[in-house]
Amino acid sequence: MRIVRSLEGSEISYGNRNLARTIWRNRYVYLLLIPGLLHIFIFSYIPMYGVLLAFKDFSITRGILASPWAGLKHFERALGFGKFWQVFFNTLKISFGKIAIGFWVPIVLALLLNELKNRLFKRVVQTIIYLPHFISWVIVYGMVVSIFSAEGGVINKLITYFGGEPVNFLIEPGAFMGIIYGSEVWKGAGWGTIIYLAALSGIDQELIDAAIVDGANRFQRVIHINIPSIMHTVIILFILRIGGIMNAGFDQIFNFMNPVVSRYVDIIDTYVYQLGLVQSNYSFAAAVGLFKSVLACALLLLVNFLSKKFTESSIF
Amino acid sequence: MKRRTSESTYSKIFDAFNIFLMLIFCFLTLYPFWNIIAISFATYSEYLSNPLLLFPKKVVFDNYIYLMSDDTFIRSALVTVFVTVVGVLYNMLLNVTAAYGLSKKNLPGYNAIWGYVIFTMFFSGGLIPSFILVAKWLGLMGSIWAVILPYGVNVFNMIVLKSFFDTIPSSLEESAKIDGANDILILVKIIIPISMPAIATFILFFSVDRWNEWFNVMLYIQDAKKYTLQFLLRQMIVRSATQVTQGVSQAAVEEYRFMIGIKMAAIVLATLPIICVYPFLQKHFVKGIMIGAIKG
Repeated sequence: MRIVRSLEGSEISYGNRNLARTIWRNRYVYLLLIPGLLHIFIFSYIPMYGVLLAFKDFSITRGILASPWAGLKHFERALGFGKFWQVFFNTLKISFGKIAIGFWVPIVLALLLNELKNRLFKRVVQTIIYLPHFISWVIVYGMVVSIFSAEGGVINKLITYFGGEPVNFLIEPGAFMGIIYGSEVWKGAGWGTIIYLAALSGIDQELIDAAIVDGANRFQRVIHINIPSIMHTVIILFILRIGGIMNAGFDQIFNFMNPVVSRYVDIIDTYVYQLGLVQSNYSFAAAVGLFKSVLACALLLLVNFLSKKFTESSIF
Repeated sequence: MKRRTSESTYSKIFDAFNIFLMLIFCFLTLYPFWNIIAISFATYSEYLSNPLLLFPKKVVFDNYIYLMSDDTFIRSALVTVFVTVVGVLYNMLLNVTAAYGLSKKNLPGYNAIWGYVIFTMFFSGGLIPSFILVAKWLGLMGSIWAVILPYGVNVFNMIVLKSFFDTIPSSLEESAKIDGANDILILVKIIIPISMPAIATFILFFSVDRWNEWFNVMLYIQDAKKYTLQFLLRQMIVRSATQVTQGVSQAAVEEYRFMIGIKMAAIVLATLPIICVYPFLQKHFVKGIMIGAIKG
């Protein structure tokens, strides 16, 4: 027996007959749910069944069922393979690097934007800094090339103009990593401010007025009012970011990468693509991909648990 | 009194400094765009001789004229428009209907349906099984539908949309129900019209994703006639740049340099629709994201 609210708003309880009636009354709601749920079944659940091929010696002509079982062979092979650990640690390194370099930028930017007094100026700045979010990584790479390339990039043209030797930033591992992190901040920092600005705009004006009466200066107000009021959002976003650590940014790295630097930036996702769809090593690639999916899932469950514990709100 | 003045002086210094910082940040954001625009309008010889090229001395339209008469470019622009329009319609159809269904918390079986949807955010089969599904089981290899269909549902967007629907007072629906309207009619006649800011936001988000699509094209499309703009750009920019970084041949380097104006013009044309549309929707999507944020 469950309690539901009837149309008139009063509470009624129902048994089997009434359950059937409730379902019938909501038939159009189910009808509306069907297309989306069916799509999720086809494009999310069938591939979950497809992970079976990680445990088989899959050949595309035979199909999953007819291919012979391979047990954990592919997993054992991956874990004993130097390249696998290289891409695994690259994934962690790049993800943590992006957090360390990029996570605080939108927070500081939002706090500074919030201090702007001229509303028109503030809006223009916002419009400008949100823009890169909408640009694809393919195009961002075009911009990177036009600035950093050894063949006619702005910086190298300036270097040669002043009589220096051109530097190929795109194959210099240190410079290349700098470009990865820098372009990530360039693309995402402005967009990242939206959520913090939303939290800042929710601050009670009375609280600010009270602080002014108490003689708090602007700096003190930011420290004691603004920062605490966005702390909750900061923690949730940080936890979410940790949960997504297995995704180091396929679109960016796949487009930016070149063979010279690949051993520093090859991540699990680019490795799976290379193994499976370039070398047609489907089962091995699926095993590496499954390893990542399971790890990512465990991480998400963990951070969801943590967020429930610390913020009393479950993310999912 | 004295303390007060000194404080407001600091405050003014800070304001000036803050404005200065913001201007620098805006410059850093805009410069890459500006650089590309400048190269696309400059002559090849000026591109070579003028290192900064902030303002080309001679503005030429050669690169744009070349692209406009290039069948490959025009065709992939049309393919991209098709993918965007059809894809976004498909996105909105699936996500709006499902989000509306998910906003009915009293539905029998609701928890099971919610779990079924949410589970896909935690676990995915990964790239290889999805590829096998589309290429082999659905038999879509080489079809433009392989580009459009897989991204039909975006569970995250669906949930944000659902939480927007949650904020609509149920009394609106109930009175319509008493008048005999069914749920589909209510969605179309009442819910969608009053959710226009959220709907517009998601149309924008889905449009940008569709417009920027290249990955599925790389996986499933071999025929160059079906390339989207972004994939064509990828072929033009990433491939040749990789060749040049490896230093293949002098001829390749020369050709690469000579092509740069055309590539930059192609980037400008491919980015223009987004730049033109999005400032007008800014107010809406900021609101849309805030609703997502409040939901947490």
